[in-house]
Amino acid sequence: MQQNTSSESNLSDKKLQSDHDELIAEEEIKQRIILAHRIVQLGVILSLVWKWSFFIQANDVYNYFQLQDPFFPEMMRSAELLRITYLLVVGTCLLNLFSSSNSLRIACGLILFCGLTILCTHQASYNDMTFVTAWWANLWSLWLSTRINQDNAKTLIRKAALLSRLIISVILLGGAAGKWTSEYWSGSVLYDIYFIDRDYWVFNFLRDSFETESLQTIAMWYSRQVIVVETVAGFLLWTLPARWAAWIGMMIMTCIALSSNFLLFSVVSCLIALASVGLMVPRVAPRTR
Amino acid sequence: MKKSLVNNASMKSEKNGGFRLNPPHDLGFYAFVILITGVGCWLIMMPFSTRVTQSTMKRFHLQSKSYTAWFLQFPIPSMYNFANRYQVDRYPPGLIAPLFEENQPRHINHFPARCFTFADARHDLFEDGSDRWIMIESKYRGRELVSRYHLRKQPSEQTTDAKLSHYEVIRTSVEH
Repeated sequence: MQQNTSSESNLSDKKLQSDHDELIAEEEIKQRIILAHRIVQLGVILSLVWKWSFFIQANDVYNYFQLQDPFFPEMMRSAELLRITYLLVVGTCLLNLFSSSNSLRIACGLILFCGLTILCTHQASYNDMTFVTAWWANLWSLWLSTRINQDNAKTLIRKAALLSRLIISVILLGGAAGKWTSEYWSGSVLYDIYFIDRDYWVFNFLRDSFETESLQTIAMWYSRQVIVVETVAGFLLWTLPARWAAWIGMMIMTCIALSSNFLLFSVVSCLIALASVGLMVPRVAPRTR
Repeated sequence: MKKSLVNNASMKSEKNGGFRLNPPHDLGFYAFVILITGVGCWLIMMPFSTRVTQSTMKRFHLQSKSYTAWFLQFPIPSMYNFANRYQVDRYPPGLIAPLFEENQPRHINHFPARCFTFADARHDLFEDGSDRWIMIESKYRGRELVSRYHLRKQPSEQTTDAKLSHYEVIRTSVEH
């Protein structure tokens, strides 16, 4: 009888210990989720301020030269709206970065959603892919904020990593799909945009080292490499394990900016941060027999 | 001791909004996946569907049916899509082209209409205060869209602020 009571007590102790460990692990993962949210916000801020000096000059231009294009509603042509929205987005992002309250994170996420939507569709900023990638990264952050207090942390971090992979895949696919055409396969488009006169170390070096004909051949292989990488990553990146996808995603984004235009870090910074979410997924412990 | 630790942790977890055993359905997650899948399908259709290509080209040329139709496409990523070229002239097309070939068309990455909407372009085009005629062309797998615009300087008496320089965008033609 006494033996039975003792073994029941042991079992109960083990269960309590296991529950306790699980709660500690859960809390650790929750901290990782909050860290992931902060890293993505930091990436969005970097994206937004990367071309700060350019935006300052652009502000002067928009103040002086105004385009009356009836295609855009009057509000979406206003330089004041653009200026206020941009500053509001940067400020809100900073607040979101340091916020420890989840309600505040959600409120910031909603403001950023509206602000970035305006920046993506305003006459003076619609063409800048920085705002589109920042919009996707922020949508992810907003979704995450709404789930932090709802979901089991292990499930949430896996879902967050899957969504981050899906976003990066679809953005790369967006780059690839428009290049599935002979003008890119031959390299003529990128030759004209980058190789003829783009002032960037890679192209300056190539122009100094090779004749026109060789440059055209290099442009062709450069262009084909871009198409293949974007296509393969666009279709397959989201299917990879979280950590693999994170490293590969970060590497691709960094290489895109380093090999074509330093200013492209404004487009890819938030994506690099988003890709890093995969590194927050806990490693699966090896099964013991 | 352990029991109280677990209870405390559990209470703390609940208080701080920790996990629940039966969390409500994550509709946001499903909506997110549907949005990404929709965008992915649209992109994969690009080589096969003339409608998708035309819609994207019109988006690029600011020639969509309406601002709303254009607006709805903004989340679709489109870095370096299509072979886009633009040409800027100081004179109307055909006026003196054979005598003075001004600029050769150049390629531009995406949203080629940025050659007159974006900041640096506006500065370069409008600094001298005269009209401009612009041609934009997008090509993709044999499909093509060519748009022409006249950027007309508004007389200063029509503008409310003498410091501002107003240009009117006139779409002169669009060819498929």
